[in-house]
Amino acid sequence: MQYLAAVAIETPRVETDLDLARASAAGDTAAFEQLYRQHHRRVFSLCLRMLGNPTEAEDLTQDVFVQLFRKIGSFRGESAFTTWLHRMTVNQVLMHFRKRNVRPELTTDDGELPVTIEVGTDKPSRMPIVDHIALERAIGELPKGYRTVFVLHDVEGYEHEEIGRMLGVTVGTSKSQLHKARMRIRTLLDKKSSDNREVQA
Amino acid sequence: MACANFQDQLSDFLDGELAANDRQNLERHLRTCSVCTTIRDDLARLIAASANLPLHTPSPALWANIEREIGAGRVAAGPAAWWNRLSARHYDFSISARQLVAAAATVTVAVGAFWAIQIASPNALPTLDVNWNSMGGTSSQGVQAVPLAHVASNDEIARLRGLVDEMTATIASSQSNWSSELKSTYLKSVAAADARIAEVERAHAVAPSDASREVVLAAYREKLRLLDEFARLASEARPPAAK
Repeated sequence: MQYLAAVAIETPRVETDLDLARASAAGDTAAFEQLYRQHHRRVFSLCLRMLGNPTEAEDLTQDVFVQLFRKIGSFRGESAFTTWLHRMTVNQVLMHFRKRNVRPELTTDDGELPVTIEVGTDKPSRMPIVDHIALERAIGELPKGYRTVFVLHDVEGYEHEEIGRMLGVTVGTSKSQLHKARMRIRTLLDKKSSDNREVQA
Repeated sequence: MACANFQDQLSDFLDGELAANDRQNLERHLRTCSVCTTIRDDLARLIAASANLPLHTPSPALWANIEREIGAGRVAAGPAAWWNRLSARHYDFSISARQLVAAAATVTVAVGAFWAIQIASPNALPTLDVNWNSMGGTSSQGVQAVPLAHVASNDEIARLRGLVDEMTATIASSQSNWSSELKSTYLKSVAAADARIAEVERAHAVAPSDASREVVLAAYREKLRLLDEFARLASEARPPAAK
């Protein structure tokens, strides 16, 4: 049950963020803190998955919110606040990659990740139940470019068109990287479980 | 076509991005190939799991760092900012089932947000030190060290209830120069906060747990935060004689 109190009764959630953004733009740090409380976990999780390093992810989360505070006056509410903030986060991560001179290593289609093809005579090995921890670890083991596309598409829900624009690659490249990333994760998860089976045997 | 080609199409297939013709060919192949079917099922589960990964939480110290950094260039927020805030914002007293689960898992429900109220009360007579001056900076209405009426119980809920009563009384005594609009906003807010408190207290009474207790505490703290803001406003709404 929802009890929305005070001034903006029956106002949808989106406007809550807009209201807080306006108050923040007026210098109200308590309103900004509330925005932080509502969004910091999503921002941090995105940074962590793309960077794979908690310390760096915290530094970047800090940068994102500091930048957010400075730019918040330019949020006009045309899009959802979360969309705006996540886009800002992705840009910040990509800029971080560029600053560190880390090429997003988005190679051409015949990139360095060979996809293992399974053929009909193999006994189909079914991947174990996907548990979150194993999945996170497998994402962390992906080469950075593949990881970026995978996190943006499968974890964050971006479309290939948008990913292509953000990374400066074609839709086709984004799709092919995603497929290779998924196949690699599947192999990694499968390998983990077969390692475990061997240990148990 | 070989399995390799079909496997290359599986992601597009699962994302609904395969052309009708290719899709039909692939579907036909899947009916007869258990290997490709297994891979399709694996990828489908992988996609579903990836879309539902739990969120990670950074160190609690992170906000303090951010606050320090943005504080440096911050324009002092005067009474106008409080007006903006009260008229631009609403309070959300709902706590979703997901937050309830999170509360049960971590019992750290936003305690840090209630910085405005500092309890200096390790000993016999706890006092409430409301930080009236932190935003306006020049208010002369320093109401400090209000003795608490409800100190008998060691119970945190009773303590918060006591704080709420104290602050309600303080606000009531300075409400006379409020506009009718502000008064009605105040009454509506308090009613919503009380409704929320009543609801979570009922739930807590029916099935008491650490999590439900934490939710009750959170509801009281939220009301305190609300009262604190109205109290500030009350002090700042007075003629600026002190300036």
